[in-house]
Amino acid sequence: MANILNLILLQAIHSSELPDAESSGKIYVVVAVMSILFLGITVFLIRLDRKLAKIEKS
Amino acid sequence: MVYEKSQFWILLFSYFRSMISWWKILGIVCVFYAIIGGLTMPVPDLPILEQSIRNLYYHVPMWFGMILLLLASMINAIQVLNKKDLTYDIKSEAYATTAMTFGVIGLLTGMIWAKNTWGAYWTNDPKLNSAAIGMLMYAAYFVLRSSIDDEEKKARVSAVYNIFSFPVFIVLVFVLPRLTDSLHPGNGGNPGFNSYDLDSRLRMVFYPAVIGWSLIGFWMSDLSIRTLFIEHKKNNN
Repeated sequence: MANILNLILLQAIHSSELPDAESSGKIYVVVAVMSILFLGITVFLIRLDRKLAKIEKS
Repeated sequence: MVYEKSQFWILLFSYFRSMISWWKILGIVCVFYAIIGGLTMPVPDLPILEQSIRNLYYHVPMWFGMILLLLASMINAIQVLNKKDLTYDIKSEAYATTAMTFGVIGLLTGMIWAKNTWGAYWTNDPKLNSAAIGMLMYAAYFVLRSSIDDEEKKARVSAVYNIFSFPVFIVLVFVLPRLTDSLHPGNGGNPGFNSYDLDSRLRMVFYPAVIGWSLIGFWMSDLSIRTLFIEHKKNNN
């Protein structure tokens, strides 16, 4: 009986080791995508900011 | 010529500094840190939440940013009544508009998170309902604004409404949910993040994320305020 319980427990531990964010290393793909996404927004904001500054001066 | 690493960063900073204010650069840096660190840095292994705890870095700063923007909106509304200057009315409206944008994003991201942890897009959680009522209150602010034609009258009436809305919003979102049971941390029988699981690993990314997104919110408001000023000037000439 104890052996069976041990087996179930071991299997439970094993199945809980599913691939998560850190293990596969592919999270860096998401990091790269989100960084470029925000970089684009940043460039847009800076350009708009400078354009407005130019209009304000004139 | 060979540059030291620190010199490189100083050069890069001064390059951007020649284009935009320092606090805008700080906002960009903080959000980049929050995106990269928020996805890759280790998080505590919590039941149910698991990896979705990383939403703390993206969903929660929206609400913090919204509250700060609404505060700025209210301060400008007070200035409208004090100084009788219409430029404060323009500022007040722009801050409220950006705050609503953040609020809508906060609601939508929260709904996705709720579906995957609590099991439904919308629960009868007091914090959710309070946030919805608060958003509707500010929706009424915009309706009120558009219903008055006279500029002076519009500025004064909406400033009074704005000043009363903010404390009510704070009570709805931060006080009332704490008096009953809520699924949100820090409410009712639920301990806040501080007490057990907002550990140093989460804080390291969470605080910069709040600062970064709030600064981006203020930047967005700054852009719309300046646009509205130009429009205002053009109409008066």
